[in-house]
Amino acid sequence: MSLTANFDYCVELGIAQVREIFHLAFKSEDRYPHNIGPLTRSLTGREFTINVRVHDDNDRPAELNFQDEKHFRFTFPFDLTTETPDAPDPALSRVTLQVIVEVPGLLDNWVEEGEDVLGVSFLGITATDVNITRLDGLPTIDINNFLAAIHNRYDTISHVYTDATSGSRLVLYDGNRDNTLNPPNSSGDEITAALETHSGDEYLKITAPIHVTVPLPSGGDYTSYGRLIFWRQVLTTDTTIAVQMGSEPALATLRTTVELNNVAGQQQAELTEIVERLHTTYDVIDHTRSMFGTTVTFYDGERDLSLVPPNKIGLPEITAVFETHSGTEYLKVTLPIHVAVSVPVYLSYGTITFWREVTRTDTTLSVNFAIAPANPALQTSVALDVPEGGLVSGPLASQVGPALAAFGTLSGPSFGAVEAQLIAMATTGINNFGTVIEPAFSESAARDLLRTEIAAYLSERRYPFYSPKSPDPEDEPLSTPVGFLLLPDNVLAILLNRRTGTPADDHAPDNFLGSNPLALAVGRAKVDEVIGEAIIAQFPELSKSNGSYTGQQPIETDEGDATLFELAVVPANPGAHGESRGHLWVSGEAEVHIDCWPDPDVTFSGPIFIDAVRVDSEEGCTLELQARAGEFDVDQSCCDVLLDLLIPIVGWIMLVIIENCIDAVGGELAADIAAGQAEAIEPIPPVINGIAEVTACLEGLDISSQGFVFPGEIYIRRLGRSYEDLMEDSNRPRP
Amino acid sequence: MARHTSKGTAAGKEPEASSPKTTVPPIPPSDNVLPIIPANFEPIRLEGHRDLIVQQPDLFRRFNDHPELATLLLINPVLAFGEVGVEMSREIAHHVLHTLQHPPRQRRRRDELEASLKEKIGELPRPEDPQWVSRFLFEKLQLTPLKTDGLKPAYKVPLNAAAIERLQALRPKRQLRRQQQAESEYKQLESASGQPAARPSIRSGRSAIRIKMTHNAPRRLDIEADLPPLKEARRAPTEVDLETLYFYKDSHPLACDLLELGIIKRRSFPIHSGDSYRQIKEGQKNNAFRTWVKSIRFAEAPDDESNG
Repeated sequence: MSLTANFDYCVELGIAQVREIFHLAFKSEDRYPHNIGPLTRSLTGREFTINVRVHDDNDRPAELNFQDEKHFRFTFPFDLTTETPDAPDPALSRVTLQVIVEVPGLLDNWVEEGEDVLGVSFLGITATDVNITRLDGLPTIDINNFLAAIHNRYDTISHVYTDATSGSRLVLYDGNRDNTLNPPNSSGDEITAALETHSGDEYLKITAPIHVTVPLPSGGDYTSYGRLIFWRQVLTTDTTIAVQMGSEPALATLRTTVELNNVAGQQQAELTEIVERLHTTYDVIDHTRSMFGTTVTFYDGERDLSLVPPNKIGLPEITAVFETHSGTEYLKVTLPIHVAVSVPVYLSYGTITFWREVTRTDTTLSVNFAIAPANPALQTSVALDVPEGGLVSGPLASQVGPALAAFGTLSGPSFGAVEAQLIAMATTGINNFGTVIEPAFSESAARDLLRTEIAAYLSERRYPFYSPKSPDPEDEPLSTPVGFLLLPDNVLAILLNRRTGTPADDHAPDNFLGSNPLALAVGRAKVDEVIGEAIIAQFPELSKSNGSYTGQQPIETDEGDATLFELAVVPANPGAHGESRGHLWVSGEAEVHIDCWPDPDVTFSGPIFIDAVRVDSEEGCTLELQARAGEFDVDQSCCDVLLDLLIPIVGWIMLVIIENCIDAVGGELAADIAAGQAEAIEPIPPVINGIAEVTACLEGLDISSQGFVFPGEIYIRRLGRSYEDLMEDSNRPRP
Repeated sequence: MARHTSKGTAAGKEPEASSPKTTVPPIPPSDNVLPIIPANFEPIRLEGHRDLIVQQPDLFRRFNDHPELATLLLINPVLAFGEVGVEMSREIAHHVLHTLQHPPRQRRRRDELEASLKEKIGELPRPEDPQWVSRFLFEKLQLTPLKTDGLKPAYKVPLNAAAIERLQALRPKRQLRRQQQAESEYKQLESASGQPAARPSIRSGRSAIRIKMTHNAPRRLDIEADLPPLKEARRAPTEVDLETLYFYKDSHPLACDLLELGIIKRRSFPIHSGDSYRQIKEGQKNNAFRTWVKSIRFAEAPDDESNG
């Protein structure tokens, strides 16, 4: 058991008082900043500005607990606001998180501005020391964030794309965001998006309204509203969700497509191209064929005016249409003709109608006129203006194939080529969206980052709260205060003046605080030391010998003389020597000199109590201490001699102990011994490191064999007042 | 005769207003003191001083063999001697009591003062009797009553200056420097004003610790200290104790002599009456000496000397 361990003095405070000091200290913005920032961080490739506001109010209190013998555990609630000007989704450009963090603080001592201080040190803490107990406000990225990012990005890119070679033009819409576009967005639709999963990967399917204008080789323009549909993979990490708009997926089913509303126009454009080629091919083939005694003349409008007979009135041209039969696309061609049979003579205009299969690729379509379809419904037919009962048309239909084969294989651009061109133009537009990267921290990634940042911020900081600083520049520095937290009683013990050993030998003292908010203790060794010094000061002929002081000290008083041989003053426990209170046990031996009588040896022993009374007045509180010899009546003059020997020495012992104790703990001392009494003021430092003004009122004295304990009260007031204080008091400065 | 000086040289401070008295609760009979069981001794008769010297070795041996009886010497030595079988003549009893009461120099001064006062006032002075002192001051000496309520006399410090200086050195150096500075400021004030000044207030904080370094007993009244200015009281008190008599010490030489006599008598070793002795002996009444003094031993001569 030890009140002060291997030290001389100890100050103990209850956790309630430590918390009060902590909360007051925390109001000092300059010393314990709780508005931190702006800080700049580069996260997920983007610059963020971060501001932190740490709270300590009724709704969101900071807290302090004792974790172990050397560590506090602090709990800080704070708001962390991140801002980035170019967030893909503007709604995510400013995010505020509500966080509660627990961090340990080491109860440590160091030198600051030349003075030894005791305080809380966060030096060296790492992310693993930091515990996030609450994290709210972390945004969850969903489709709406992507859409918002796309809409936001749309405003920054070009909306009209032109192919210089073909002259094709594509207009990209997003609702009516750009109302200068021509033609305007007829549907008013916005770009839409949906999340899909393909082959285990997540993709964003984007549908954008468009308008296309495609000049046709045959003249004129193909125009159509439609949609651009494309997929892009969504890449998720612990910290980001990204969509690379410029990276088309490899899956064939996810290729970019263009859907155009004007399907008929597409067919017409293709037909026009094929018919144009029919006309061109007609110019290079024979226009008259003789077969089986029949002369057939093929016409195509007025392309060959030398033909005999000439094309019939109206100059019909070769015509063609696309037809689909049994799922196969055919080109149905109608060819104006004239038939001349010599025997019997038969002359007539008419037409040959025939079908040929259309073969398509992505960009072309071709028709092989040499191959007649097998479908019996699509056999070549001949229709003659002069009735002939099929005698001429029938055989002619079956024999005209070779003549039709002369057209060869005609090829023309399919509308797929146009679509490919349009997709190429659209891809340029899609690429302009760039890569959309949303900072999207997972819960665990966010916690890890916060722990790292908090540890980095705190690991350079420490905050003193107790410094036994001597205000007298002539003084030697006061001793280094060493702290311990006593659990489970939740007591802060501050030890001063190491008596034995080294810092490695320091250990926690006993809890002598009890139910008091404050207590000061002087250890037994120091008490014994002061007692010894006081005894020798008053009785210089005595010297220390095995726990007491012996020698031959002449005593001369008006009441008589004696020689003091031995004196011992020892602090004793309540219950010792049959006394219910703790006391100083005095024992000794003297030879009393009696006139005309041999000097007897007298041994004596008895208790001296220190009566401690707290007196409050307008000036403040005063602890009055007076030594009283047990069993002595103050008016009992018989014993005054003994009292005069013992009481003053005890008074001086108390004075020296108290003054040295207060001096060591950094309190303020008075400077007066007057009228048989002495005063000391402010038992503990009145100002703790510029944080709070602390006043201690000592209320009593408990003596035991372990030393002295002065229980007391403590009053804590913030040093200075802030605007916040004035606000709380509704006492803001007025104009 | 006591010297009356205009300025005190004693270490005591000037009187100041007293604080409210704290009442010390009565000390109940102690359980630590055991009643004494009388022992049987051969009677010894002491007629004169020579008998006392001759019987000393036997007496010492009897007391040393019965230490519980030796401590009774501090209560009433005559009765204590009786415990070890000693009968004394009145002369020897008076001598024993007288010797124990005062050391020689105090005895002489007491006798002088008693004789002088008796001669001057026609009766034996009784400074321990407050009513007698009142009559003495206001009827016999016809002194003007003074307002003394709330005033405290000056007392001598029990420690000598050398001891105080050594004890001061135990205090923190910072404290000593502040005290010296405060003392210097006080003296500057005093010399500037030419008269005693109030000590500068040094209390700046909210809390203080006040240590009463000693208890002030009447026997340490500083008879040579200066009195403060005193006003006349409307009526004389019917009882005047020593602390009140103190304020009349400069009013009349006989008052000062009476005070000095009272102080000396307070310093005398108290001898208990037979009844009080019995109560203390039987443990029915407390006495500090019975509880504090554990033993009284007398040096015994070697056997061959005692037989010589």
